[in-house]
Amino acid sequence: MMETMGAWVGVGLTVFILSFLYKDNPFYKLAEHIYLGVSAGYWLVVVFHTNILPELIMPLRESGGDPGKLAMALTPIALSLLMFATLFKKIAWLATIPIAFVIGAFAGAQIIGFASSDLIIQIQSSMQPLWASGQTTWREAINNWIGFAGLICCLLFFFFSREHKGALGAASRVGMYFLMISFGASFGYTVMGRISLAIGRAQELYDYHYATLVFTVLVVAGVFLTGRLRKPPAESAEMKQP
Amino acid sequence: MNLRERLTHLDRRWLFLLMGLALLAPLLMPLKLPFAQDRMVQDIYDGIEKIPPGSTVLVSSDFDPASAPELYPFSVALYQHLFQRDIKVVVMSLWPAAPPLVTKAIDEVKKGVGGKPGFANKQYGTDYINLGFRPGEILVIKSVSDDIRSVYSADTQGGRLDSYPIMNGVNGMKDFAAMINVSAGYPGIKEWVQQVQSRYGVRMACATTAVAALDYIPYYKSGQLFGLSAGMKGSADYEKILGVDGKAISGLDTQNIGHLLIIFAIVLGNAVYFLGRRKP
Repeated sequence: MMETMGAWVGVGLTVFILSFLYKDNPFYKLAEHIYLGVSAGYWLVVVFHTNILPELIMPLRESGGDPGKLAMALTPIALSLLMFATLFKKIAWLATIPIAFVIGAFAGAQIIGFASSDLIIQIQSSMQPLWASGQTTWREAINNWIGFAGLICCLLFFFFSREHKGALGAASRVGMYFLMISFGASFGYTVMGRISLAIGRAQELYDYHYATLVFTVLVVAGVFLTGRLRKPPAESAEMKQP
Repeated sequence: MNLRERLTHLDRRWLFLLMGLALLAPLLMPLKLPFAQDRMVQDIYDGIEKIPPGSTVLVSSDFDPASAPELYPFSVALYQHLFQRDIKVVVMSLWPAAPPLVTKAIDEVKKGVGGKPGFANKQYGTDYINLGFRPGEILVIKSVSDDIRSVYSADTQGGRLDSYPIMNGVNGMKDFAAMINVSAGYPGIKEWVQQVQSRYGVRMACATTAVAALDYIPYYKSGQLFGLSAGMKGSADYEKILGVDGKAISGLDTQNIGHLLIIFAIVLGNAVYFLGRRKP
Protein backbone atom coordinates (compact mmCIF):
# COMPACT_ATOMS: atom_id res chain seq x y z
CA MET A 1 0.00 0.00 0.00
CA MET A 2 2.74 2.43 1.04
CA GLU A 3 4.79 1.46 -2.01
CA THR A 4 1.86 2.18 -4.34
CA MET A 5 1.22 5.50 -2.63
CA GLY A 6 4.91 6.37 -2.93
CA ALA A 7 4.85 5.50 -6.63
CA TRP A 8 1.79 7.70 -7.22
CA VAL A 9 3.41 10.60 -5.39
CA GLY A 10 6.63 10.07 -7.39
CA VAL A 11 4.80 9.92 -10.72
CA GLY A 12 2.65 12.94 -9.84
CA LEU A 13 5.65 15.07 -8.90
CA THR A 14 7.53 13.94 -12.03
CA VAL A 15 4.62 14.99 -14.27
CA PHE A 16 4.35 18.29 -12.38
CA ILE A 17 8.07 19.01 -12.88
CA LEU A 18 8.02 17.97 -16.56
CA SER A 19 5.07 20.32 -17.18
CA PHE A 20 7.62 23.16 -16.97
CA LEU A 21 8.89 22.11 -20.39
CA TYR A 22 5.61 23.44 -21.80
CA LYS A 23 5.54 26.58 -19.65
CA ASP A 24 5.80 27.76 -16.06
CA ASN A 25 2.66 26.80 -14.14
CA PRO A 26 1.30 26.32 -10.58
CA PHE A 27 1.84 22.51 -10.68
CA TYR A 28 5.53 23.00 -11.34
CA LYS A 29 5.77 25.61 -8.59
CA LEU A 30 4.04 23.23 -6.14
CA ALA A 31 6.46 20.38 -6.94
CA GLU A 32 9.43 22.74 -6.71
CA HIS A 33 8.40 23.96 -3.25
CA ILE A 34 7.70 20.43 -2.01
CA TYR A 35 11.13 19.34 -3.23
CA LEU A 36 12.89 22.18 -1.43
CA GLY A 37 10.93 21.66 1.79
CA VAL A 38 11.41 17.89 1.86
CA SER A 39 15.13 18.20 1.08
CA ALA A 40 15.66 20.70 3.89
CA GLY A 41 13.62 18.58 6.33
CA TYR A 42 15.43 15.37 5.36
CA TRP A 43 18.83 17.01 5.79
CA LEU A 44 17.87 18.42 9.19
CA VAL A 45 16.75 15.01 10.49
CA VAL A 46 19.76 13.18 9.02
CA VAL A 47 22.27 15.69 10.37
CA PHE A 48 20.64 15.61 13.82
CA HIS A 49 20.70 11.81 14.06
CA THR A 50 24.10 11.21 12.45
CA ASN A 51 26.04 14.22 13.63
CA ILE A 52 24.56 16.36 16.40
CA LEU A 53 23.24 13.48 18.52
CA PRO A 54 26.19 11.03 18.32
CA GLU A 55 29.02 13.56 18.01
CA LEU A 56 27.85 16.41 20.27
CA ILE A 57 25.12 15.34 22.69
CA MET A 58 26.06 11.70 23.42
CA PRO A 59 29.75 12.37 24.24
CA LEU A 60 28.62 15.09 26.65
CA ARG A 61 26.17 12.73 28.32
CA GLU A 62 28.70 9.88 28.46
CA SER A 63 31.56 12.03 29.81
CA GLY A 64 30.49 11.22 33.39
CA GLY A 65 32.24 14.25 34.83
CA ASP A 66 35.69 13.12 33.62
CA PRO A 67 37.49 16.44 32.86
CA GLY A 68 39.35 15.00 29.85
CA LYS A 69 36.23 13.55 28.24
CA LEU A 70 34.27 16.68 29.12
CA ALA A 71 36.86 18.87 27.39
CA MET A 72 36.77 16.61 24.31
CA ALA A 73 32.95 16.88 24.24
CA LEU A 74 32.80 20.61 24.87
CA THR A 75 35.42 21.63 22.27
CA PRO A 76 33.31 20.74 19.19
CA ILE A 77 30.24 22.29 20.83
CA ALA A 78 32.16 25.53 21.46
CA LEU A 79 33.49 25.53 17.86
CA SER A 80 29.98 24.90 16.52
CA LEU A 81 28.55 27.77 18.58
CA LEU A 82 31.29 30.09 17.34
CA MET A 83 30.02 29.57 13.78
CA PHE A 84 26.86 31.47 14.81
CA ALA A 85 28.97 34.51 15.72
CA THR A 86 28.59 35.67 12.10
CA LEU A 87 25.03 36.64 13.04
CA PHE A 88 26.36 39.34 15.40
CA LYS A 89 28.43 42.10 13.83
CA LYS A 90 30.60 42.88 16.89
CA ILE A 91 31.81 39.31 17.43
CA ALA A 92 31.55 38.08 13.82
CA TRP A 93 35.36 37.63 13.71
CA LEU A 94 35.06 34.73 16.17
CA ALA A 95 33.57 32.59 13.38
CA THR A 96 36.96 32.59 11.68
CA ILE A 97 38.30 30.24 14.42
CA PRO A 98 36.12 27.19 13.54
CA ILE A 99 36.46 28.01 9.81
CA ALA A 100 40.26 28.02 10.16
CA PHE A 101 40.04 24.72 12.04
CA VAL A 102 37.97 23.10 9.27
CA ILE A 103 40.19 24.46 6.46
CA GLY A 104 43.35 23.36 8.29
CA ALA A 105 42.02 19.86 8.95
CA PHE A 106 40.81 19.36 5.36
CA ALA A 107 43.95 20.80 3.79
CA GLY A 108 46.17 18.64 6.00
CA ALA A 109 44.20 15.52 5.18
CA GLN A 110 44.09 16.22 1.46
CA ILE A 111 47.57 17.47 0.54
CA ILE A 112 49.42 14.15 0.88
CA GLY A 113 46.71 12.10 -0.84
CA PHE A 114 46.43 14.59 -3.69
CA ALA A 115 50.19 14.83 -4.24
CA SER A 116 50.50 11.07 -4.29
CA SER A 117 47.46 10.00 -6.34
CA ASP A 118 46.95 12.97 -8.69
CA LEU A 119 50.51 14.09 -9.21
CA ILE A 120 53.21 11.46 -8.69
CA ILE A 121 51.26 8.38 -9.81
CA GLN A 122 49.77 10.24 -12.80
CA ILE A 123 53.23 11.44 -13.91
CA GLN A 124 54.52 7.89 -13.50
CA SER A 125 51.67 6.46 -15.57
CA SER A 126 52.26 9.01 -18.36
CA MET A 127 55.79 7.61 -18.83
CA GLN A 128 55.05 4.77 -21.21
CA PRO A 129 57.41 2.89 -23.58
CA LEU A 130 57.39 4.51 -27.02
CA TRP A 131 58.93 1.59 -28.91
CA ALA A 132 57.59 -1.93 -29.41
CA SER A 133 59.79 -4.27 -27.46
CA GLY A 134 59.20 -7.14 -25.08
CA GLN A 135 55.79 -6.63 -23.50
CA THR A 136 54.81 -3.59 -25.62
CA THR A 137 53.15 -4.23 -28.97
CA TRP A 138 53.33 -1.81 -31.92
CA ARG A 139 49.68 -0.91 -31.44
CA GLU A 140 50.34 0.04 -27.80
CA ALA A 141 53.47 1.95 -28.83
CA ILE A 142 51.47 4.04 -31.35
CA ASN A 143 48.87 4.67 -28.66
CA ASN A 144 51.63 5.75 -26.27
CA TRP A 145 53.03 8.14 -28.90
CA ILE A 146 49.60 9.77 -29.28
CA GLY A 147 49.33 10.08 -25.50
CA PHE A 148 52.86 11.50 -25.25
CA ALA A 149 52.30 14.04 -28.05
CA GLY A 150 48.92 15.03 -26.59
CA LEU A 151 50.40 15.56 -23.13
CA ILE A 152 53.29 17.74 -24.36
CA CYS A 153 51.12 19.78 -26.73
CA CYS A 154 48.41 20.35 -24.09
CA LEU A 155 51.03 21.50 -21.58
CA LEU A 156 52.49 23.88 -24.20
CA PHE A 157 49.00 25.31 -24.82
CA PHE A 158 49.05 26.48 -21.19
CA PHE A 159 52.60 27.89 -21.44
CA PHE A 160 52.15 31.65 -21.50
CA SER A 161 55.71 32.98 -21.05
CA ARG A 162 56.24 33.19 -24.81
CA GLU A 163 54.00 34.26 -27.64
CA HIS A 164 52.41 31.26 -29.38
CA LYS A 165 54.20 31.65 -32.72
CA GLY A 166 56.25 29.33 -34.94
CA ALA A 167 56.92 25.85 -33.50
CA LEU A 168 55.38 26.77 -30.14
CA GLY A 169 52.28 28.10 -31.92
CA ALA A 170 51.92 24.92 -33.99
CA ALA A 171 52.36 22.68 -30.94
CA SER A 172 49.90 24.67 -28.84
CA ARG A 173 47.40 24.52 -31.72
CA VAL A 174 47.72 20.72 -31.76
CA GLY A 175 47.27 20.85 -27.97
CA MET A 176 44.08 22.84 -28.48
CA TYR A 177 42.75 20.13 -30.84
CA PHE A 178 43.50 17.49 -28.22
CA LEU A 179 41.65 19.58 -25.64
CA MET A 180 38.69 20.04 -27.98
CA ILE A 181 38.49 16.28 -28.53
CA SER A 182 38.53 15.87 -24.75
CA PHE A 183 35.74 18.45 -24.34
CA GLY A 184 33.75 16.65 -27.05
CA ALA A 185 34.11 13.35 -25.19
CA SER A 186 33.10 15.11 -21.99
CA PHE A 187 30.02 16.58 -23.69
CA GLY A 188 29.11 13.15 -25.08
CA TYR A 189 29.32 11.62 -21.61
CA THR A 190 27.23 14.51 -20.24
CA VAL A 191 24.50 13.93 -22.84
CA MET A 192 24.57 10.22 -22.01
CA GLY A 193 24.23 10.99 -18.31
CA ARG A 194 21.34 13.40 -18.76
CA ILE A 195 19.46 10.97 -21.01
CA SER A 196 20.01 8.23 -18.43
CA LEU A 197 18.31 10.40 -15.82
CA ALA A 198 15.40 11.03 -18.19
CA ILE A 199 15.20 7.27 -18.86
CA GLY A 200 14.94 6.62 -15.12
CA ARG A 201 11.91 8.89 -14.93
CA ALA A 202 10.45 7.51 -18.18
CA GLN A 203 10.72 3.96 -16.81
CA GLU A 204 8.84 4.97 -13.67
CA LEU A 205 6.17 6.79 -15.72
CA TYR A 206 5.81 3.66 -17.87
CA ASP A 207 5.72 1.25 -14.92
CA TYR A 208 2.89 3.23 -13.28
CA HIS A 209 1.14 4.30 -16.50
CA TYR A 210 -2.29 4.60 -14.85
CA ALA A 211 -0.93 7.21 -12.46
CA THR A 212 0.89 8.88 -15.39
CA LEU A 213 -2.33 9.16 -17.38
CA VAL A 214 -4.30 10.53 -14.42
CA PHE A 215 -1.70 13.16 -13.58
CA THR A 216 -1.10 14.12 -17.23
CA VAL A 217 -4.82 14.77 -17.73
CA LEU A 218 -4.90 16.70 -14.45
CA VAL A 219 -1.92 18.87 -15.39
CA VAL A 220 -3.11 19.52 -18.97
CA ALA A 221 -6.56 20.54 -17.72
CA GLY A 222 -5.04 22.60 -14.92
CA VAL A 223 -2.58 24.44 -17.18
CA PHE A 224 -5.39 25.13 -19.70
CA LEU A 225 -7.75 26.43 -17.01
CA THR A 226 -5.17 28.57 -15.22
CA GLY A 227 -4.22 30.02 -18.62
CA ARG A 228 -7.85 30.93 -19.30
CA LEU A 229 -8.50 32.33 -15.81
CA ARG A 230 -5.37 34.47 -15.73
CA LYS A 231 -6.13 38.05 -16.71
CA PRO A 232 -4.47 39.15 -19.94
CA PRO A 233 -1.58 41.56 -19.24
CA ALA A 234 -2.50 45.23 -19.48
CA GLU A 235 -1.40 46.80 -22.72
CA SER A 236 1.68 48.94 -22.27
CA ALA A 237 1.77 52.58 -23.27
CA GLU A 238 4.07 51.75 -26.19
CA MET A 239 1.68 49.15 -27.57
CA LYS A 240 -1.25 51.57 -27.39
CA GLN A 241 0.52 54.06 -29.61
CA PRO A 242 -0.38 53.70 -33.26
CA MET B 1 8.16 31.36 -44.73
CA ASN B 2 10.26 28.58 -46.30
CA LEU B 3 11.41 25.36 -44.59
CA ARG B 4 14.78 26.79 -43.49
CA GLU B 5 13.14 29.80 -41.86
CA ARG B 6 10.59 27.57 -40.19
CA LEU B 7 13.35 25.38 -38.80
CA THR B 8 15.29 28.45 -37.64
CA HIS B 9 12.30 29.63 -35.63
CA LEU B 10 11.16 26.18 -34.53
CA ASP B 11 9.67 26.22 -31.04
CA ARG B 12 12.07 24.15 -28.90
CA ARG B 13 9.08 22.47 -27.25
CA TRP B 14 8.74 20.36 -30.39
CA LEU B 15 12.19 18.96 -29.65
CA PHE B 16 11.15 18.24 -26.04
CA LEU B 17 8.09 16.38 -27.37
CA LEU B 18 10.22 14.41 -29.84
CA MET B 19 12.68 13.49 -27.09
CA GLY B 20 9.80 12.42 -24.84
CA LEU B 21 8.47 10.14 -27.58
CA ALA B 22 11.99 8.82 -28.27
CA LEU B 23 12.31 7.92 -24.59
CA LEU B 24 8.91 6.26 -24.29
CA ALA B 25 8.77 4.38 -27.62
CA PRO B 26 11.51 1.82 -26.81
CA LEU B 27 9.84 1.14 -23.47
CA LEU B 28 6.62 0.26 -25.29
CA MET B 29 8.37 -1.69 -28.06
CA PRO B 30 11.78 -2.97 -26.85
CA LEU B 31 14.24 -3.22 -29.74
CA LYS B 32 16.94 -5.19 -27.87
CA LEU B 33 19.68 -3.44 -29.85
CA PRO B 34 23.12 -5.04 -29.44
CA PHE B 35 25.85 -3.22 -27.58
CA ALA B 36 29.61 -3.65 -27.30
CA GLN B 37 31.09 -4.52 -23.93
CA ASP B 38 33.42 -2.12 -22.15
CA ARG B 39 36.84 -3.47 -21.07
CA MET B 40 36.79 -1.35 -17.90
CA VAL B 41 33.60 -3.07 -16.66
CA GLN B 42 34.90 -6.53 -17.58
CA ASP B 43 37.88 -5.71 -15.35
CA ILE B 44 35.55 -5.08 -12.39
CA TYR B 45 34.02 -8.51 -12.94
CA ASP B 46 37.42 -10.20 -13.31
CA GLY B 47 38.76 -8.40 -10.23
CA ILE B 48 35.84 -9.55 -8.07
CA GLU B 49 36.18 -13.09 -9.42
CA LYS B 50 39.74 -13.12 -8.04
CA ILE B 51 38.59 -12.35 -4.48
CA PRO B 52 38.46 -15.57 -2.46
CA PRO B 53 35.01 -16.58 -1.12
CA GLY B 54 34.55 -15.68 2.55
CA SER B 55 36.58 -12.46 2.22
CA THR B 56 35.10 -9.12 3.22
CA VAL B 57 34.68 -6.22 0.79
CA LEU B 58 33.93 -2.60 1.64
CA VAL B 59 31.33 -0.88 -0.56
CA SER B 60 30.90 2.87 -0.22
CA SER B 61 27.54 3.81 -1.68
CA ASP B 62 27.86 7.51 -2.40
CA PHE B 63 24.87 8.47 -4.51
CA ASP B 64 21.28 9.60 -4.11
CA PRO B 65 17.94 9.18 -5.93
CA ALA B 66 18.93 11.87 -8.48
CA SER B 67 21.64 9.60 -9.92
CA ALA B 68 19.85 6.32 -9.18
CA PRO B 69 18.92 5.57 -12.84
CA GLU B 70 22.64 5.28 -13.63
CA LEU B 71 24.03 3.79 -10.43
CA TYR B 72 21.23 1.82 -8.77
CA PRO B 73 21.29 -0.95 -11.45
CA PHE B 74 25.05 -1.22 -10.91
CA SER B 75 24.53 -1.54 -7.14
CA VAL B 76 22.01 -4.33 -7.65
CA ALA B 77 24.35 -6.18 -10.04
CA LEU B 78 27.29 -5.65 -7.66
CA TYR B 79 25.49 -7.17 -4.64
CA GLN B 80 24.29 -9.99 -6.91
CA HIS B 81 27.90 -10.70 -7.93
CA LEU B 82 29.30 -10.44 -4.38
CA PHE B 83 26.60 -12.73 -2.93
CA GLN B 84 27.10 -15.14 -5.82
CA ARG B 85 30.81 -15.33 -4.92
CA ASP B 86 29.96 -15.73 -1.22
CA ILE B 87 31.84 -12.53 -0.36
CA LYS B 88 30.87 -10.62 2.79
CA VAL B 89 29.79 -7.03 2.22
CA VAL B 90 30.22 -4.04 4.53
CA VAL B 91 28.38 -1.01 3.12
CA MET B 92 28.86 2.59 4.21
CA SER B 93 27.78 5.96 2.79
CA LEU B 94 29.15 9.45 2.55
CA TRP B 95 25.88 10.68 1.04
CA PRO B 96 22.87 11.05 3.37
CA ALA B 97 20.25 9.74 0.94
CA ALA B 98 22.17 6.56 0.07
CA PRO B 99 21.41 4.12 2.96
CA PRO B 100 17.73 3.53 1.99
CA LEU B 101 18.86 2.76 -1.58
CA VAL B 102 21.39 0.23 -0.23
CA THR B 103 18.70 -1.54 1.79
CA LYS B 104 16.38 -1.57 -1.24
CA ALA B 105 19.05 -2.97 -3.58
CA ILE B 106 20.12 -5.74 -1.17
CA ASP B 107 16.49 -6.71 -0.45
CA GLU B 108 15.88 -6.89 -4.20
CA VAL B 109 18.90 -9.17 -4.70
CA LYS B 110 17.82 -11.39 -1.82
CA LYS B 111 14.43 -11.85 -3.50
CA GLY B 112 16.03 -12.47 -6.91
CA VAL B 113 16.55 -10.08 -9.83
CA GLY B 114 16.48 -10.32 -13.62
CA GLY B 115 15.66 -14.02 -13.77
CA LYS B 116 18.34 -14.99 -11.23
CA PRO B 117 17.55 -16.96 -8.06
CA GLY B 118 17.52 -14.95 -4.83
CA PHE B 119 19.77 -15.13 -1.80
CA ALA B 120 17.24 -15.60 1.00
CA ASN B 121 19.91 -17.37 3.05
CA LYS B 122 22.08 -14.24 3.35
CA GLN B 123 21.84 -12.94 6.90
CA TYR B 124 22.13 -9.33 8.00
CA GLY B 125 25.12 -8.95 10.32
CA THR B 126 26.69 -12.21 9.15
CA ASP B 127 26.91 -11.90 5.37
CA TYR B 128 26.34 -8.17 4.96
CA ILE B 129 25.86 -5.02 7.00
CA ASN B 130 24.70 -1.48 6.25
CA LEU B 131 26.66 0.97 8.42
CA GLY B 132 24.78 4.00 7.08
CA PHE B 133 25.76 7.61 6.54
CA ARG B 134 28.31 9.67 8.46
CA PRO B 135 29.02 13.35 7.73
CA GLY B 136 32.60 14.55 7.51
CA GLU B 137 33.52 13.64 3.93
CA ILE B 138 37.29 12.99 3.59
CA LEU B 139 37.78 12.95 7.35
CA VAL B 140 35.34 10.02 7.53
CA ILE B 141 37.25 8.23 4.75
CA LYS B 142 40.53 8.72 6.57
CA SER B 143 39.14 7.67 9.95
CA VAL B 144 37.37 4.59 8.55
CA SER B 145 40.63 3.52 6.92
CA ASP B 146 42.49 3.62 10.24
CA ASP B 147 39.79 2.51 12.66
CA ILE B 148 36.24 1.89 11.45
CA ARG B 149 34.84 2.02 15.00
CA SER B 150 36.10 5.56 15.52
CA VAL B 151 33.42 6.70 13.05
CA TYR B 152 30.81 3.95 13.24
CA SER B 153 29.93 2.91 16.78
CA ALA B 154 26.64 1.47 15.48
CA ASP B 155 25.00 0.46 12.18
CA THR B 156 21.75 1.73 10.63
CA GLN B 157 19.74 -0.53 12.95
CA GLY B 158 21.38 0.91 16.06
CA GLY B 159 23.31 -2.25 16.97
CA ARG B 160 26.91 -2.00 18.17
CA LEU B 161 29.39 -3.17 15.51
CA ASP B 162 30.96 -5.75 17.83
CA SER B 163 27.60 -7.51 18.15
CA TYR B 164 27.71 -8.54 14.46
CA PRO B 165 29.81 -11.58 13.39
CA ILE B 166 30.72 -9.91 10.07
CA MET B 167 32.66 -7.22 11.95
CA ASN B 168 34.85 -9.69 13.87
CA GLY B 169 38.43 -8.86 13.01
CA VAL B 170 37.40 -5.98 10.73
CA ASN B 171 39.03 -2.83 12.07
CA GLY B 172 40.29 -0.81 9.13
CA MET B 173 41.10 -0.79 5.45
CA LYS B 174 43.78 -3.49 5.73
CA ASP B 175 41.06 -6.01 6.66
CA PHE B 176 39.15 -5.64 3.38
CA ALA B 177 40.00 -7.68 0.30
CA ALA B 178 38.86 -4.80 -1.92
CA MET B 179 37.01 -1.52 -1.84
CA ILE B 180 34.26 -0.67 -4.32
CA ASN B 181 32.92 2.86 -4.59
CA VAL B 182 29.58 3.59 -6.25
CA SER B 183 29.78 7.35 -6.55
CA ALA B 184 27.86 10.22 -8.11
CA GLY B 185 30.28 13.01 -7.22
CA TYR B 186 31.81 14.67 -4.18
CA PRO B 187 32.70 13.08 -1.83
CA GLY B 188 33.41 10.01 -3.89
CA ILE B 189 35.98 8.35 -6.12
CA LYS B 190 38.61 11.09 -6.11
CA GLU B 191 38.56 11.30 -2.32
CA TRP B 192 38.65 7.50 -1.89
CA VAL B 193 41.59 7.21 -4.30
CA GLN B 194 43.47 10.06 -2.63
CA GLN B 195 42.86 8.99 0.96
CA VAL B 196 42.75 5.21 0.70
CA GLN B 197 44.12 3.75 -2.52
CA SER B 198 47.29 5.82 -2.66
CA ARG B 199 48.04 5.35 1.06
CA TYR B 200 47.05 1.76 1.72
CA GLY B 201 47.39 0.31 -1.78
CA VAL B 202 43.91 -1.21 -1.48
CA ARG B 203 42.48 -2.86 -4.60
CA MET B 204 39.76 -0.47 -5.66
CA ALA B 205 37.05 -0.38 -8.36
CA CYS B 206 34.41 2.24 -8.99
CA ALA B 207 31.11 2.97 -10.69
CA THR B 208 30.23 6.54 -11.49
CA THR B 209 27.85 8.69 -13.50
CA ALA B 210 28.57 9.23 -17.20
CA VAL B 211 29.13 12.97 -16.59
CA ALA B 212 31.96 12.29 -14.13
CA ALA B 213 33.52 9.26 -15.84
CA LEU B 214 36.08 11.16 -17.89
CA ASP B 215 37.67 12.57 -14.72
CA TYR B 216 38.34 9.09 -13.33
CA ILE B 217 39.59 7.26 -16.43
CA PRO B 218 43.20 8.38 -15.64
CA TYR B 219 42.92 6.50 -12.32
CA TYR B 220 41.96 3.35 -14.24
CA LYS B 221 44.71 3.83 -16.82
CA SER B 222 47.33 4.28 -14.09
CA GLY B 223 46.17 1.10 -12.35
CA GLN B 224 44.87 2.88 -9.25
CA LEU B 225 41.44 1.40 -10.06
CA PHE B 226 41.16 -2.18 -11.24
CA GLY B 227 37.87 -1.40 -12.98
CA LEU B 228 35.51 1.46 -13.77
CA SER B 229 31.86 1.54 -14.76
CA ALA B 230 30.55 4.69 -16.46
CA GLY B 231 26.87 5.56 -16.28
CA MET B 232 23.95 3.44 -17.39
CA LYS B 233 26.05 1.84 -20.15
CA GLY B 234 28.53 0.56 -17.56
CA SER B 235 25.68 -0.81 -15.44
CA ALA B 236 24.21 -2.53 -18.54
CA ASP B 237 27.62 -4.08 -19.31
CA TYR B 238 27.85 -5.46 -15.79
CA GLU B 239 24.31 -6.85 -15.97
CA LYS B 240 25.15 -8.47 -19.31
CA ILE B 241 28.31 -10.11 -17.93
CA LEU B 242 26.37 -11.46 -14.96
CA GLY B 243 23.47 -12.59 -17.15
CA VAL B 244 21.00 -10.40 -15.28
CA ASP B 245 18.15 -8.97 -17.34
CA GLY B 246 18.10 -5.71 -15.38
CA LYS B 247 16.90 -2.13 -15.67
CA ALA B 248 20.09 -0.80 -17.25
CA ILE B 249 19.91 -3.22 -20.20
CA SER B 250 16.28 -2.29 -20.82
CA GLY B 251 17.24 1.40 -20.66
CA LEU B 252 19.97 1.10 -23.30
CA ASP B 253 17.49 0.92 -26.19
CA THR B 254 16.09 4.22 -25.04
CA GLN B 255 19.60 5.60 -24.66
CA ASN B 256 20.48 4.65 -28.25
CA ILE B 257 17.32 6.22 -29.69
CA GLY B 258 17.82 9.35 -27.59
CA HIS B 259 21.41 9.69 -28.81
CA LEU B 260 20.34 9.26 -32.44
CA LEU B 261 17.76 12.01 -32.00
CA ILE B 262 20.34 14.35 -30.47
CA ILE B 263 22.83 13.63 -33.28
CA PHE B 264 20.07 14.31 -35.81
CA ALA B 265 19.16 17.58 -34.06
CA ILE B 266 22.82 18.71 -33.95
CA VAL B 267 23.36 17.91 -37.66
CA LEU B 268 20.08 19.57 -38.65
CA GLY B 269 20.76 22.63 -36.49
CA ASN B 270 24.20 23.09 -38.03
CA ALA B 271 22.91 22.53 -41.56
CA VAL B 272 20.19 25.16 -41.08
CA TYR B 273 22.73 27.57 -39.58
CA PHE B 274 25.24 27.20 -42.42
CA LEU B 275 22.51 27.44 -45.07
CA GLY B 276 21.41 30.68 -43.40
CA ARG B 277 24.96 32.06 -43.49
CA ARG B 278 25.26 31.51 -47.23
CA LYS B 279 22.27 33.76 -47.93
CA PRO B 280 23.33 37.35 -48.62
